[in-house]
Amino acid sequence: MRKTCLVFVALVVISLFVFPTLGSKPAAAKEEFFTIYFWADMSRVYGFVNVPRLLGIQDAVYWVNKEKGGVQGRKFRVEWADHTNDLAVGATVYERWRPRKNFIFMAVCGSQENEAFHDRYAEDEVVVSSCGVSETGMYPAGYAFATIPLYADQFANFADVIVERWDQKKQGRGPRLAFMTYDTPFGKACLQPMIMEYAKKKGIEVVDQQFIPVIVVDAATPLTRAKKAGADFIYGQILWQTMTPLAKENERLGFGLKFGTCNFGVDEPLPIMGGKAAEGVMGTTPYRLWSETNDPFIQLATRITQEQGRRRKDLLNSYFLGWANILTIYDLLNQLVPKVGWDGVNSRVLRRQLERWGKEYDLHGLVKFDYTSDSRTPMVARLVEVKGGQWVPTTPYRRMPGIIRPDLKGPYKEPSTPPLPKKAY
Amino acid sequence: MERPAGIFDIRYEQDMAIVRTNPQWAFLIGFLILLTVLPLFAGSYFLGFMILTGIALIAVQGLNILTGYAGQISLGHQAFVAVGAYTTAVLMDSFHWNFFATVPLAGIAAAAVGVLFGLPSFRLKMLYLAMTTLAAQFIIIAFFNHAFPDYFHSVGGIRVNRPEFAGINFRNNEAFYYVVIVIAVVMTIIAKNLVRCRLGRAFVALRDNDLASEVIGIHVARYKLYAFAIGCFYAGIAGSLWATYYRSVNPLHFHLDVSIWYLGCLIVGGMGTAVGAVYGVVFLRVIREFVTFISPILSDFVSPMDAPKIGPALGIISWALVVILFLIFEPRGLAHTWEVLKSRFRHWPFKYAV
Repeated sequence: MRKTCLVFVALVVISLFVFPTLGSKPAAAKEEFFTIYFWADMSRVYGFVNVPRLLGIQDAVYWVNKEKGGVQGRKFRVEWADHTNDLAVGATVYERWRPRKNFIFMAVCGSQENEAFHDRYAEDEVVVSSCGVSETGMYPAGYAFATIPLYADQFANFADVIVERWDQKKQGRGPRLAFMTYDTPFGKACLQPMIMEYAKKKGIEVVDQQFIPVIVVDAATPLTRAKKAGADFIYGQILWQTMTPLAKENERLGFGLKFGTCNFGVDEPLPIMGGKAAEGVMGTTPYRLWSETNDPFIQLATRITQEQGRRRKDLLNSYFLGWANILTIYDLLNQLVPKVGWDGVNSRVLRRQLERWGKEYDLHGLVKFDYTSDSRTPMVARLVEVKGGQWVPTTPYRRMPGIIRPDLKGPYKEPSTPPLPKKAY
Repeated sequence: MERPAGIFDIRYEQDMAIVRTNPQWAFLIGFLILLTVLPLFAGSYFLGFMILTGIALIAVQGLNILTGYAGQISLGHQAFVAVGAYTTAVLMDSFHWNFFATVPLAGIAAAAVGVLFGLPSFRLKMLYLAMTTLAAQFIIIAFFNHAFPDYFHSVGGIRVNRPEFAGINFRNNEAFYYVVIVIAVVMTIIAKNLVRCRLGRAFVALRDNDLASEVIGIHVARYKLYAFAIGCFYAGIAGSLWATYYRSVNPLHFHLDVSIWYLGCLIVGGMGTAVGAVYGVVFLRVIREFVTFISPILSDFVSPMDAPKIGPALGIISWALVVILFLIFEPRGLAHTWEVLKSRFRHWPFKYAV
């Protein structure tokens, strides 16, 4: 009994130390910093997007801190966490950050987490800059802002171009399209009913739909099926890893199919890995391309990557998504702090300012955003194509139709309650 | 179970009691009080951790009944969690049911689906049965991905609102914590008691030797289905809470990794004991949290390109390493280690009872 009592007392003493620590609220960050939170899957399915994106974030922060001397007297710093594509891990990381007063701006990538946390971003008043653009992840308008166009709009851009290029008189019919995509939220984002309606409206005949894996072992079977169905074009939310074997097999079989993909398929390895077979693959992106060496932003990014000792093979196009996150908050703070001071910066003010950016806000020449009270995504993009072993733009920036379900449209309704007590430091 | 010297059972009630001694009662009451007052001083992060631990615990208790007690290996437990989650989500989203009314239905739906996938257990055992439950993982998730898009909304998933009840808004973690913890405690007590009754003893007999159990009069097929039904009922309840905690369900939330993780919890905690599930879930969740804490710190010591790989590498390695080490050195899990420690403590300074 004496031993039991001793153990009990020891447990009580330990508890007195442990539980207050668990319950304590984290201290606010040091004053001279503005903390940007980055929360993404960096190791599993979306690791290939988010690791280069983290490099982009780090390089942009380096540029702001070193060359611009910070933003309005403060330096940026990044706190990141890898949620390993597991919502349980993501949720606890989010809960760890949520009570912090400086948790007002977060970079996110992934439709899954945006869909799950969409309402909570608004409740917790954290502005999110995200490249996961499923409709229900971004809309109804709230605190999440996209850095890439909606996938439906990206398809529309592709559809517009192929229809414009199609010689109706010569062919005697409209273009025929087969969808070949992944059986995931990302992949199936191009199979929404509104996309089918848009294709029909444009005179495109959808002849086939297939699901394929990311790593295609047998490319001949799906391609043969699409060809037998009479397809001229293949469209899918597919990545370069998938596009490469498809393009090669298409060339080997002599099918002559043309491919289209979304911004995540527009990536540097495709022309390298696909070689001649990749020539003519199309995609939509609102961003500048590494091949545009005369562009001032590309020159800046190239210089920074050299200074930072980045390897060329690590700089996939999602690298620019990281830059976009940082430049967004950089511009926001530069616009707001002179007006309201650091004490006046909170998430609600950030969101309102983003909504004031309006149509086609030019983010340092990298990308143009359409952020208004009811728009949360970029609305202009270019169709790019593999030509001469690299991605090159084949159209100027074009405005996309904005294909959103009617029930998701409308401005964000700000609550009448005062803003949460948050500070930018 | 050993008890301190001088404690004897002189009535059947004492022999059957789960909590037998005054110190045990004191610890139990103290623990329950601690759980009750935790939201008063714990931060939102810790409450979030407790909620997720509670949800995982309910699912693992179900798996423990199915695999730990009845010996029916399941590699698709997360799919049954998905059935519960979707049941709650659809009932709340499409039919505007109250959350609390959907919880038992989520359990029943998962139990029904569990029975369906338990049918092969009549003819299959061990690895072969594991393969059929693995099939459940894929079939069920594909079903939610493709069937009834008007209700399940395919990959878009379903948004779920946290409940309001009797003027209490369960949107904040402080309130929802009580919902999860109460259900987790009740389900754990039920699991503990379940295996002490006729049904539980039949499960254990089945696990140890199904042929012998049939000889002594246990209807093997029926009890196997009972095990599936009860195990999956637990999974369904966990799924219901899961959907409400995350406020959204999506086929991608319910992947195979989590099913395997549940099995790991059982191995680490100790299969075939109700407290083993508790130890396993808490232990592995703490490790997981520790990894998310430490990986950004460690990443400062490696190249930026390698930095993001540290967290997942640590997460996978630590999980796998812990499971392997337990399988080698303590296959009966933390529950057994705890019993050994208690026994050592009681017999000290002797090494074992004399």
